[in-house]
Amino acid sequence: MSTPVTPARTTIFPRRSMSGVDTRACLCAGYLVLLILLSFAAPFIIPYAPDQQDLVHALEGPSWAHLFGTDDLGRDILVRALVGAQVSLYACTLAVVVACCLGIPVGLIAGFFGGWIDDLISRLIDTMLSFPAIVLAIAVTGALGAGLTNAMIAIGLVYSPLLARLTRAQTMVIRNELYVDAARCFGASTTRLMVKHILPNAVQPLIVQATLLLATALLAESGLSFLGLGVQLPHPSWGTMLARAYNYMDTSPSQMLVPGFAIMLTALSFNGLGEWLRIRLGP
Amino acid sequence: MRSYARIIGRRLLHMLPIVLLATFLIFGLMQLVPGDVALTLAGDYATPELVEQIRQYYHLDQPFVVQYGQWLWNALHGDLGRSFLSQEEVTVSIMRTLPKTMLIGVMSILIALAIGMPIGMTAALRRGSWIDSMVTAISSLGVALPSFWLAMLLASFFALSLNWFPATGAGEPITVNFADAVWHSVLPAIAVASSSVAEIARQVRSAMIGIMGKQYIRTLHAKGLTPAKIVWQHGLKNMAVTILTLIGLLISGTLGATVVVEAIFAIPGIGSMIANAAVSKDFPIIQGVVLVMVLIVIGVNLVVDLLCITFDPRLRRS
Repeated sequence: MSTPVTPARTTIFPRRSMSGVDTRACLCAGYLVLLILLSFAAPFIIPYAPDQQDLVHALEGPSWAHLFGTDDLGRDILVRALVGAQVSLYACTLAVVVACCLGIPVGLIAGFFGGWIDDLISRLIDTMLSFPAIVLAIAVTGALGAGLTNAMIAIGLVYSPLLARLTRAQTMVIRNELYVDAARCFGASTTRLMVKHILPNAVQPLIVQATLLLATALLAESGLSFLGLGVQLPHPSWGTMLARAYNYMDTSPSQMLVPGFAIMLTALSFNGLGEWLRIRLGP
Repeated sequence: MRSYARIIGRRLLHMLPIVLLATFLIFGLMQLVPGDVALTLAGDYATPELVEQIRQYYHLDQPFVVQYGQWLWNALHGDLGRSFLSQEEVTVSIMRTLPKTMLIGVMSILIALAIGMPIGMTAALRRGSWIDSMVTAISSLGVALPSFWLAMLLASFFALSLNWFPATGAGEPITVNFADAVWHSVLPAIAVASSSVAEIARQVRSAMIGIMGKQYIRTLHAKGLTPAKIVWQHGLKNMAVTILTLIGLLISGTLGATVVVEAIFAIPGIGSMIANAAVSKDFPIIQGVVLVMVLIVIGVNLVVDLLCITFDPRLRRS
């Protein structure tokens, strides 16, 4: 039995050989890159604007003119879904950034100082995690007022305790490391210890969690937009497209297929990337 | 027995600050309302009476602590205020709508267990086979599937095309016609169960793999017990705690998923109630529903904890 040698973690991404290329991770990353590229290229490739109405050809099925058909106002579903990708991806990224900005500092402080500060913050985290996330997000959006940014702040707020808890656990282990003591002996301030010495060493699991959170935020965003609390009409997003499709469910059920599949594939890709990162960055 | 009572006491003591903090957060939600709270909450076409009613109800002329204290005092006495829109008492609305949501929640957890457990166990017992990889793929899909989209697909196919199930409404109240209420809840419950199935299958798989690798299982094999008996009698018994803990974890997500799914099926449960209230800023309803949901989550987790301790004496030591 040889003891495994742990490499010194000086960079965020450890340099390992790229010999074991994960096909699933490549597929996930490829899909996301393609989606982003197409969402920006859509206006140049597809000869319809996302809000261009054509009532004569409303609620049509797939054809060569409209690959995925048209919605109730005769707008091309494909171009709307692609442009909607920008909104949906921006929204879930914003929510995760909010969650990181709120959760990571709080977790760092709780884990670093311990004592009553930790007790208080831990109780707060426990309490927030006992709320059903989407319900709390709906309530916060109700208070702030409906709209994409408010909804994403709400979702970020609701999921920040997950990151706070993880950061706290990491910090509690790392604060006892020798190199933190060494830095303290050299006179590093508390803030410097936390930001320069502890955070970089705690960041790997946080990256994994944040990637997985992108999928959760995407699902939450589409739900909130469906209820009319997130993206406001007439802007296309996958959630609002599903909300429109819902009204024509009995006459034209194929309307709901494209946005739904888009949400599912994107969430699947974020999860796939997160799992891959977990294995890559894992101990 | 004395230690058992002490554990219950300690859990209750631990729960109290969480419940208190939860009520504080729920009331604090109102601090997020921009501008003049009473004017904003009353909406665009508010009558001066409504604005005055809101001001009086929340004691907006008093400091925050007093406002919170008054609200909490009323809530403890079962008074959650009146809806700004319908003027109905919030407790009455919740009592009317809660059974419908609970029925969907309970059914969805039962469905999730009925599907998730067998496939998780099969995957664990046939580790590395094509069944295992398929179960892993299905559970990844289940987590990524928006439950309200599944609800739309189910409604469109099974209700609107095939006419097997009703597409809207909750049917008659549970107490009047139980079968009808259940019949109306089948499709919503399946939609809500989708993500739980994935989670249960995944957790049961890893728990089962852990149990089957234990030494006592090897001893049972050596004694000559049939594999079926080992799995059903000894494997399952040791999984009780895992499954109970899972139910505790899933209850929160289940309640969350009912909100949008109820909107799809036009079911008048507390989920669609809070969704409508959020759009119209009907704050007493929002606060009441969130409070009830948090209490359900905390209560279920308390029961789960106690059941776990009952089933597994090892947990009593900690």
